[in-house]
Amino acid sequence: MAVKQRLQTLRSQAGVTAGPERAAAAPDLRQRLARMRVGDGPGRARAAPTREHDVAALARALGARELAPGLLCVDHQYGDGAVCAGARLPAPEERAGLPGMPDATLGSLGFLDTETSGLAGGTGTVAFNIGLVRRVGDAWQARQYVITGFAGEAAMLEALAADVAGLAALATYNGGSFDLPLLRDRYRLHGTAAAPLPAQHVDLLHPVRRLFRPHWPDCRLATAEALLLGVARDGDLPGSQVPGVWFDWLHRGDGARMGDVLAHNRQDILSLLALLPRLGAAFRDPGAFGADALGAARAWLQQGEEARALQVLEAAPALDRAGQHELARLYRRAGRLEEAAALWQRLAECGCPRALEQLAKFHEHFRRDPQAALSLAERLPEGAGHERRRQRLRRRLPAAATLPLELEDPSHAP
Amino acid sequence: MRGNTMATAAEHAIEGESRDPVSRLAQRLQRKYGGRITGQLVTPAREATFADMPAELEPRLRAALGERGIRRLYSHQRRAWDSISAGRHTVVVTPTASGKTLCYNLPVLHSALTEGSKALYLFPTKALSQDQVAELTELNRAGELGIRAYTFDGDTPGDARKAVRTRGDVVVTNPDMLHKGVLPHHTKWAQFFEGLRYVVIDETHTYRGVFGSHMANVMRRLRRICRFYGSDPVFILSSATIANPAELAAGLVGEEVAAITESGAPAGQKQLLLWNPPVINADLGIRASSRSQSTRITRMAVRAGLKSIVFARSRLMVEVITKYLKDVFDSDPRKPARVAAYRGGYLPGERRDTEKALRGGEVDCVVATSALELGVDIGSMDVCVLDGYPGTIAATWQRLGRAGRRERAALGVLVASSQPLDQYIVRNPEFFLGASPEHARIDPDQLLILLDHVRCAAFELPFRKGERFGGEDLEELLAYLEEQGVLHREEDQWHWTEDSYPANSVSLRSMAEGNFVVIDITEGGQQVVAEVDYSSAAETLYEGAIYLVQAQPYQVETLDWEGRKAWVRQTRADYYTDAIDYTRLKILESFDSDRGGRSECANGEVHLVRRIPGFKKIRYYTHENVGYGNINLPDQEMHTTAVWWEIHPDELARAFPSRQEALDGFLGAAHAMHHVAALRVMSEPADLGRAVGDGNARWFSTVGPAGRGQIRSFENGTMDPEQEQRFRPAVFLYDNYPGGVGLSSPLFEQRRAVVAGARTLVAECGCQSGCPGCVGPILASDEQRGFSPRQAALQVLEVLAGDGG
Repeated sequence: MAVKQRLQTLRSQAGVTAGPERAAAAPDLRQRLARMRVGDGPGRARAAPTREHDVAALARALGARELAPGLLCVDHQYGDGAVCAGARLPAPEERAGLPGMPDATLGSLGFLDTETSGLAGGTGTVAFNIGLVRRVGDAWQARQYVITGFAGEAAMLEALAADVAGLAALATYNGGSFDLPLLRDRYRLHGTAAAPLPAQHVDLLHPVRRLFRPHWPDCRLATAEALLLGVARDGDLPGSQVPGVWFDWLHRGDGARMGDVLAHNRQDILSLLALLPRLGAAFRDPGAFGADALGAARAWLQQGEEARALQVLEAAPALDRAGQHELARLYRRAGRLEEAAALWQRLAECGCPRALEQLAKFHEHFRRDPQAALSLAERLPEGAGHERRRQRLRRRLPAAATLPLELEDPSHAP
Repeated sequence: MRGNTMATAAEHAIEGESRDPVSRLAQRLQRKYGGRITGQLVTPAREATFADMPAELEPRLRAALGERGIRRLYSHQRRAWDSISAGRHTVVVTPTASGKTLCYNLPVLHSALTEGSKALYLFPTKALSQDQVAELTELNRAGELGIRAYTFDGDTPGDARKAVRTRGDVVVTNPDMLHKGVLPHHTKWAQFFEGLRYVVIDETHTYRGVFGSHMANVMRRLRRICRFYGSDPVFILSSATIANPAELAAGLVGEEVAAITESGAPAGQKQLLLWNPPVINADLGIRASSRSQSTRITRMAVRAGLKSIVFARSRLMVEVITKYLKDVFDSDPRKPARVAAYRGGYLPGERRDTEKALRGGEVDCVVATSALELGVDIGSMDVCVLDGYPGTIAATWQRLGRAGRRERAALGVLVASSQPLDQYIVRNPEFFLGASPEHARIDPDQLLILLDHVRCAAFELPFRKGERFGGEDLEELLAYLEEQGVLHREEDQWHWTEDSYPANSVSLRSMAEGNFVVIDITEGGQQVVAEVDYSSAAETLYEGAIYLVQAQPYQVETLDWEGRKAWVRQTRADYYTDAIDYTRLKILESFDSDRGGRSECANGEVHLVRRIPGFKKIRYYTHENVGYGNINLPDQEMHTTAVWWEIHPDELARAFPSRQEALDGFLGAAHAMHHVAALRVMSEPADLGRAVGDGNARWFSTVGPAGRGQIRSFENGTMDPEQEQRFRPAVFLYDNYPGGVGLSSPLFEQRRAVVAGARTLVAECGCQSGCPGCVGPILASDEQRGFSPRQAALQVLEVLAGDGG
């Protein structure tokens, strides 16, 4: 009321006082705003809704059923070994075998992905589509919820809670930073303080980064599924267009591209399922997948599995310098000193000071050959630590051998 | 000002030399420069008034206070406790160093200990937050209270944030962080909001104008979120002295707030001198510059071993005075600096260093802008010199409060510049010394600001039908946003439907977006040396500008307006630069007008185009103009509200022999009216813009190099007023923010007082033909030609006052 009254007052005043030169139509709120934003560029005026939201037609087009007002649900079933866009679905009793992740059978997990109104985060971002793959009976079931309005969100969250109840863990791609916090926010907004989601979570982004970051252009899911599964998506909707599809439906009742969102989301969750055992395999045999052996070995080491880490590095067709160092270190810890020394020798020949130092230690402490140790230590660069080592070794050499050195070495001059 | 004694310089007898070095300096100044001191005020030392600790105070907290030597409270602290305990929103208005922090720490800690409740502390700047946590931590440690107080701001590391959200008893942050980092993620703070019992707003007086209007809306959003989580916190505010603390606090909180205004804390004697620089050209009424006087007084203070602070009115003046003082005290580069500059635009780290040096007593003198007016802890100062009247009575007392803490004498000197307001104040000392401080005004329903926060609030939680948010018709605003596709209405709720994070595009500190960074490329590298806010970038960072940082001149080489960057190089220029500013206005609509037979005054909406076509180079010390440069910057456009005064064309022709003279009269009158208006609406002069021109934007008027008024247009340059077919000059005083922040309507109400005040100022000025103290600077040639700009201005003001004005 306040605005309208004020506007009426303004209009009447304008009629009384405005001279002919500056008579202006009394502004309504829109005009007032438009004027104040001088220099802000053209305002966006969007078309008002042109048609009613035809939920039944959308449901038909998506092959969905209406679970509750504002909530649609689509189920797809897949047998074991089914191939989706190139991704072969594994058997439910397979285990992921990822280091540091819950070692559950695939059949006890849920693979989840959300499509949202934006990437900005915060309470204004909503997931309008949630996809979940899990084992139902003898098949994999990809269940997708789509809300056709905000009224359906509470029902969607409730239905999801029922679906994930009893699952050992959820698997996602970057869900640790995005999907799960978002869902927790949504549950909180609907009055549920502790989101009813499994406590355990497997975020596939992290193992992918561990294994492939040095070798791939990026670690997006699309890259992972293309390179590890051979998935080729046909006419896939780019993720950046997803929010627009939701807004088209909300603002204009235009659901034409909603099917594309669901297809995109479904492929995401099916790829997650297919990807998980492949990643497990890549951790055990990185060479076979073009993965980073050192990354895999470190992951095993974090779990205290030194033997497996060593095995992974030994099997690697080519190791970079850091990898060779790590392998040598593991050899040493395993008591396989000769093998470690051979690696250090090779590295030292390339002028690696760290290898020289290790080799010097090896000769000093294991071979008990201070002469060989010293000649290696002499090649080490300047530095207090290295200098102490050299001095210690010199002291341990027979006097005759050290005398000429002392004469030549200015650092020993009085 | 109860208990103060007032005396003019003449009445003040010179007493024997005092032992106290501050009084000794005051006596020396009075002896040597008695003629320049037009008034003085001595506030005697004040004894403390105590009250008992509340009996119900949590025993561990009582013990912790005892540990720190606090066994009873000052009377205002006890009154605050009683009011807050009764569940009333409360604002405490007390001077610097009166123990205001205990007013809010006491109830907050008590209820955290007894009920496990939470508190949110809001400080206007990050620096203040850190000081506050340090203080809480100290009290906490003294009593082993186990209270967890954390700061939450841009510097809080990501992995610590969760602990702050879930475990903090007291979370200390700033409005910007609350607006951008907390409210849009309130679900993560759910626990905190559920237990939120107190919201503390310190330095409440800083939330005025645009910032305050934003703040009030952030508080609306905060309370809305609290309601969602079922809490209704009590607000505890603290403020420096302003006329309307309860009103401002109520505007911010959105509910009635009780005010506690009487301090029970002790204070040392304070002496204030009003200082008018000596006249150096009696004919033109030109006085010595205030900076020369300020520098002189400060030199004497520093030489007397007194810690001194100089407040200058602009960043530029800070740099100029710093240079003058450094020339004296820091001539040996091998010795640590004794003089430091402190102002906005310096990098936070540099400011922290200066604060530390001040607290540690390593620096003898600091030259600052209002950036130091806030509660930044710099230890105690002995002498405070104000270079120019800060613009408001409240700001004057806040700055003077920097000198002298508890039981220690302090001296303040207000040095008048040649600005009319300054001159008015030093010539009428009883006005200033007896006046109450200003009202702090906010306009939380300013349409653009309100709309911004309606967007942010809709992002945080959907709006429901029947909900209220601000004074405008919420449903109409929501409908507007729905039309824009920002919101979607479903049944009785409006939901956010945009792929964006609205708080990121709303800056609380200004209406325009994007600070400029100043990058030094002297050493071949790219080092950021300062930041400049958008609104002042055009007049400070144009190519060729001399930009000063700690009195070191840099010359701007390249300005990337779009990218908000200025590349500068160190220089040794012996001049500084000052931008020329052309403003053209077009009246769009008048809301209200007061028409008389001879003149007309109106209030309405205007469209304004501001162009900065060039700059002047001004040599240090002599202040002579040593050259010009061109500036090529985009025009800045603004739509705002204004009050304007016009004289009917027939009347104008009757009253003035020539259009030229009328124009000169308008320019002089505008000068005086601008300053009186700023005083009348109790804003700072910079919040109001001034222009003389044609209301149809055909031409605008400036003072040309010959000292006479010119009319020009952007297209045609200088024009001849006699040839102009439409000659209807108007004085415009406009609200200097897009959309206006509500200054023009109180101004319109005071239109008669503005004209009458300007007329008194000009008529009673002691000069002959005009001077900077009334109609603005005039040239000697006018005098010789027998033309008096002052007389012309008076003529304009008389017609305006006669009727319709």
